[in-house]
Amino acid sequence: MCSSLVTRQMPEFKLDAYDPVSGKYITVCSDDYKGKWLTVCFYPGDFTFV
Amino acid sequence: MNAASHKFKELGVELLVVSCDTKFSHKRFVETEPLLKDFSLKMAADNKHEMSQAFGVYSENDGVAIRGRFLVNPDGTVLAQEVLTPPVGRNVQEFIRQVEAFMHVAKTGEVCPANWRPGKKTLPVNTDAEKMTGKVGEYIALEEILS
Repeated sequence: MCSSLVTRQMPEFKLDAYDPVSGKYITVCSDDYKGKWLTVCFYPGDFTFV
Repeated sequence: MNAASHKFKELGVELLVVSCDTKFSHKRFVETEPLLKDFSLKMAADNKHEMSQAFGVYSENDGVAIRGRFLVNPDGTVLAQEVLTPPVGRNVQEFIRQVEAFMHVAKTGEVCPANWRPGKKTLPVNTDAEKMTGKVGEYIALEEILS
């Protein structure tokens, strides 16, 4: 099977998160984005910005 | 991505950034880093590495998520992905071009050739394969594609 995620269903997720707009800790999950266009960006780590 | 967040809002695209740090680290990072003064994107804390592994961007060697970017449509299908090793940052303009092209395709069913930007020529809906095979150049010139 192709190892790329392209053309496949996005994996489900549910994680703790920080929302800088409200300044609050929240939970985000894949279901929040049903019916919406979404971009997910991974980066190596806080305090190591590129 | 954050600097262009107004553009994504205009296009109607949600943004989520993810690293393997905790939510506490995310908060501290936003509060202390001058570059993040107006940062507005939700930051997911994948400190158990589950999401990074599911998306295929977890680096076992370094214990971090490598730089992966995924575009997902409203049906939940992944339309595009770009994965870079850590030392090089992304180009948001190229990504916006791709988002606009994918949205155009979703709306019209037309096909966007190389270098397509809004306003440029697309290939028609319900293309007659017999007529077009080996003859795309009669429909769109190389100069038009490269412009």
